[in-house]
Amino acid sequence: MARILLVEDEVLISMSTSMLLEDEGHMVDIAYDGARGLEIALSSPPDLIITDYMMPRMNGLAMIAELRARGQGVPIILATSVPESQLPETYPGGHDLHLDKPYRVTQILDMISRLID
Amino acid sequence: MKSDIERMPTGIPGLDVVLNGGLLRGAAYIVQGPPGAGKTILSNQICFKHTRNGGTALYVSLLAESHDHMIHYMKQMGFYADDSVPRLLTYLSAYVTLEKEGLRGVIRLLGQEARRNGASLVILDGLFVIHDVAGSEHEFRTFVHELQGQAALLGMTLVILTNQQREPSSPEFTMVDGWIELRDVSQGLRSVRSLSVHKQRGGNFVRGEHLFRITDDGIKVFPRLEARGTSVEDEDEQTGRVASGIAGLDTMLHGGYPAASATLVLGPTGSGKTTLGLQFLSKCTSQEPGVLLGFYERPKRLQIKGKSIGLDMPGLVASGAVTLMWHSPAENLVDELAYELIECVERTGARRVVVDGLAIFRDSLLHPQRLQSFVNALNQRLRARGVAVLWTLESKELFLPEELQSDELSAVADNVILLHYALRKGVLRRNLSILKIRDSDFDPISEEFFIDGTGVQFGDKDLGLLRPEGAPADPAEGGTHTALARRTGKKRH
Repeated sequence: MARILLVEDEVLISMSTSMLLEDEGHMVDIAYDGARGLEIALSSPPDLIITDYMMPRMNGLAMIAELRARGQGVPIILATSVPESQLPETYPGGHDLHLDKPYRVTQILDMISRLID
Repeated sequence: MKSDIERMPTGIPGLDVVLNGGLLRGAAYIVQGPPGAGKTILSNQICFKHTRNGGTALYVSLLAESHDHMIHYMKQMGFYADDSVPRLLTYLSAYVTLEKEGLRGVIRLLGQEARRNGASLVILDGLFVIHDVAGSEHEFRTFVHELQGQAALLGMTLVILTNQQREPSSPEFTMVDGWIELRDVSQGLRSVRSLSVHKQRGGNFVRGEHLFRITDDGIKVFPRLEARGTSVEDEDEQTGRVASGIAGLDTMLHGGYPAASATLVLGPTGSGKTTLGLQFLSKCTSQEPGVLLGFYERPKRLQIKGKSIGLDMPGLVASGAVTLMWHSPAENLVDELAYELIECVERTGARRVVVDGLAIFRDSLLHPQRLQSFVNALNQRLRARGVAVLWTLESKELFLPEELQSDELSAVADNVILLHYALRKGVLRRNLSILKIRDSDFDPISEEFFIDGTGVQFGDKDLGLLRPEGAPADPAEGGTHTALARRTGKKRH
């Protein structure tokens, strides 16, 4: 069982993904934008972060960059409909795995087990 | 002093014509239509065009539905550009903000995100959600008003999508600068999509309903042809004659069809309408090409038919003298056909056009009362390009009726030729009568003809030709009037 922070502005995705992860025995915190995600990740660091890219207030890449800059080494899955090849050149990197949206249950569970088991 | 409001092209073929150049920059629009009407594709297409032009766009959804699925489907469209997302186009959900912070929160979020992303175009998807959440009409009206204020302040063009069918006097329609409605129109088993611009402040636009299609490349709008009109300057002043490709007919016509005119060939099945069209095109050259738009006989079949009357259709096509366009006769959009034909005429520089099947246009119309004005508009467009056009139309009457009733379409043609059968000595004979020629003389008689390996020949197949074979038809070319002309050569004024 792991503590997972899900940063996702779309309710449909955050609700369904969190239910699925809870069914698998994980504890899930949800943040609906990058700024709130950063806040939670810094105040009570999770075992793993799954984050969207395009979100209000602070996007996923900015949040990842900020976390890494603050020395947070938590494993991160970047779940987005933007292909990895299209991530901005200015993005310093920092996520561990890239997950194409829309994703399937097996894909996300497989990635989680690769990062924390 | 009059100043033009800056436009933002939507990039949607036809829509910019309807909008007279595009959306007004910095204005707020409502795009309204039921689910499946094409709002999402329309707005995404506008976004991608905007980013291709160097702009930045923001797509904000108030719906609980995932826009990742939407992006997934948009990736299938020809206009989608991977490198635009999210560099120039960002998709955000404002659902949680609406739930937690209410209407004000959404407005604040829109302003913040538009500034952060430098967006000059913002799409807000799901106005009906706001209506559901707002406690009163007043609160809803305030939201739309403040939203518009934000857009104006930031100088961004705002497109608000809603699937709600509300009264035209509803505040949102009164307050915004523009209102576009998408509809799904059913006629029997057939459904077509239509678009109307009900309002666009400070700018002209083409009013009324325009049909559109959703293709793999996105939306294509076909502005109602007759609503656009042509100017007096567009009219081609051509005089003179255009050879019909049939020597005897040229004689009856006193030299051929009037240049840049529209001819209607009306006749029952098998009477020779397509043959007249093919012979008309046989005079085409690569310098003065022609186009045939057909529905019933495919290009291959037309080539065989041409060969049977001594025409080298493959040669004409290969040399670029003739372009054959074919469409299935089923479920056409008349404006789409017309624009395709005009585009082909412009591309090839065609001077002769045969439309083999006016009935397809008539039967494809959702509003039959459009027929005359539509055909008239298309004829005007073609005439303006110096094109002589020949339309064929199948009539029900096999024989010449005792009293000729003018077909409603006769009014839109400059020239009308009637083909019909006559029963003589127990044998069906083909006859041709000229009913009308624009501002001109012609032989007002009904003449028997037959079709042999060289095409239409006037006379009795058993007794011989009326006009000696090979005699030049056009007196201007040094020929003489034919036997037929000599026999009937009265002038009619």
